Amino acid sequence: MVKGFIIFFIGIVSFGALTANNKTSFYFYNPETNVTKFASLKKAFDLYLSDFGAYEFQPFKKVHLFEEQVRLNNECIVLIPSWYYKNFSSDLQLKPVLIAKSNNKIKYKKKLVSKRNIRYLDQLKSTTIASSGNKEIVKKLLNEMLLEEGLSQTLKILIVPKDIDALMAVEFGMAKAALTNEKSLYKLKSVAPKQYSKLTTLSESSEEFLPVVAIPKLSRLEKFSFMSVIREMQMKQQGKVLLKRLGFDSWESVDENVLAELNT
Amino acid sequence: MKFINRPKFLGCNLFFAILGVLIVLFGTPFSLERHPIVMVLNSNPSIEKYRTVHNEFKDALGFPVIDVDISTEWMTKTRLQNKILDESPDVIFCIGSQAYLMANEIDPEGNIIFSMAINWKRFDLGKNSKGISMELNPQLELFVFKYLFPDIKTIGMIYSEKFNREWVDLAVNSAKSMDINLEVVSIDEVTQPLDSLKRISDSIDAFWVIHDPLVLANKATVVDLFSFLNERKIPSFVYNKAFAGLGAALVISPDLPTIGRQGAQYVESLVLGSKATDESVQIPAGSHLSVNLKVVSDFALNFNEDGLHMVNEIIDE
Repeated sequence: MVKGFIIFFIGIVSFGALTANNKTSFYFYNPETNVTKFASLKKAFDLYLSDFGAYEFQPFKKVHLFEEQVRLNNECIVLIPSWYYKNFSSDLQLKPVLIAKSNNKIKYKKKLVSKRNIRYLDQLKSTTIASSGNKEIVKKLLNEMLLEEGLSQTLKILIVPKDIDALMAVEFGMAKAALTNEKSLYKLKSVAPKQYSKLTTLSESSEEFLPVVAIPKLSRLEKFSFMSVIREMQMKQQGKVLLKRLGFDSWESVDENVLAELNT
Repeated sequence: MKFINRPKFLGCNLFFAILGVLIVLFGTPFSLERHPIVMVLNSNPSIEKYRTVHNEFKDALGFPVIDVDISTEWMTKTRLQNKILDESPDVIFCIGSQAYLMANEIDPEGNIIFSMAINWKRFDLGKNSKGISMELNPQLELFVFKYLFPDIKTIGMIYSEKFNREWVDLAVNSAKSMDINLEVVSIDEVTQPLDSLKRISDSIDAFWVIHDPLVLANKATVVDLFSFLNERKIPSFVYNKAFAGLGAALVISPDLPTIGRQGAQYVESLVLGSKATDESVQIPAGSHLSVNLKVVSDFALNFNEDGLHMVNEIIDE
């Protein structure tokens, strides 16, 4: 009797584990996202995806956990920053399928802005630069943007949650300059034109792609319905809201030109 | 054998002799590598928000610090005094008011940085004390209100002159520069906050709850204020997530990890003698936003969905 119950119990647990693993996953890794509590984002995504099949959304904060999971599971879709795809994902063997769009653009530019009293870049030497995002990426970007010899190495980086925090840090003297998305500057211009008028652009980055949706090269998912569900999010009201939460409006397919640029 | 070893021995001596001269001239090579001694006094590490600041501070600093938990019974003032004397820290980073008050009492001349202290202005700040306040600049908050809720033109606020006059003056000026009308009412010990709210309720589109001990005098007053606001479908913008359960539409508070990082930068600037900031007390450089989309929907508010990516947390979907 007891033995029978144990076998039954093991059977139930194994069945549960099997069915739990049967969900196809949409993995999200982006250290630049403003979302700090992933639970509510996961809840909203899972609720949306559940209307279309056994799909789940899985956000990751730590890159090694994300990479480990992608290596374990070929049948997944990932949403990652384009810089991560270009610089760090080669061993994951990913193939970009969609690219995010914001304000009808698939690329964005970063600007280094300060108050107007900074007229020369070398006035920034040994000062604090506020920026959102990942510290290593910010350092790399500043290195590319500031050609003055050795200047970028003297800078202290203060990582803040949002571009608007970085801009306000300049306004209130916690930083001498802010590295910010071009779009955030427009936002400041439209809401607080007086504050915007106090700022000047010192340098601009080259254009970078917005995040990409990719699948492992060995995956067959592209042909199947899950990719359609992701692709069609922009056509559904709730899907649009979820995309906005991630910081963009829609996707477009990765064409040959974009692919070539992403792979250079 | 002895003869063969002799020149080596001499070479060794010569090496140390040269090293000695160099040390005398330029100091020990180890001093270049020596990290400053940084002590972190945590008022209570079992409190998650204090732990968050503590961990982020250490990560950002990147070298070992001396951690001291002052919440235990064992850590009496005398023991802390002895520890500070023994370790002679270059800087003490304090998390929470208790930690700062103790450190400042023991070492009023020391380099002390406070953080996570509500109403730091009540402190008798030491000569070399600096800190990171808990109050966001009103300009940032007003930007967020206007961007996320573009239809809101007039925002009400109740405050006491005693605690918040300066901050409210700043808020009024900032609001003007952003074409927002801030309708403020000051109260004193005898005025009922609810009566003041009722007086302005017809002319406001939203109500801004700020940290003010006279306005939020007790639980009953707080509950009355939020009940009235919810009944009238007036959205409230608050500074602490504790009010989210009472029906606040938006919570805007300092981002705790950023406070830890700011603290680390302060330490670096003190130790290296560089200037991290123009102010001795910084405002928090990062903000944390939570939006209650259920309230947004129930109150039929015009919410700018383009701003969703700025939101750190959606509550009560």
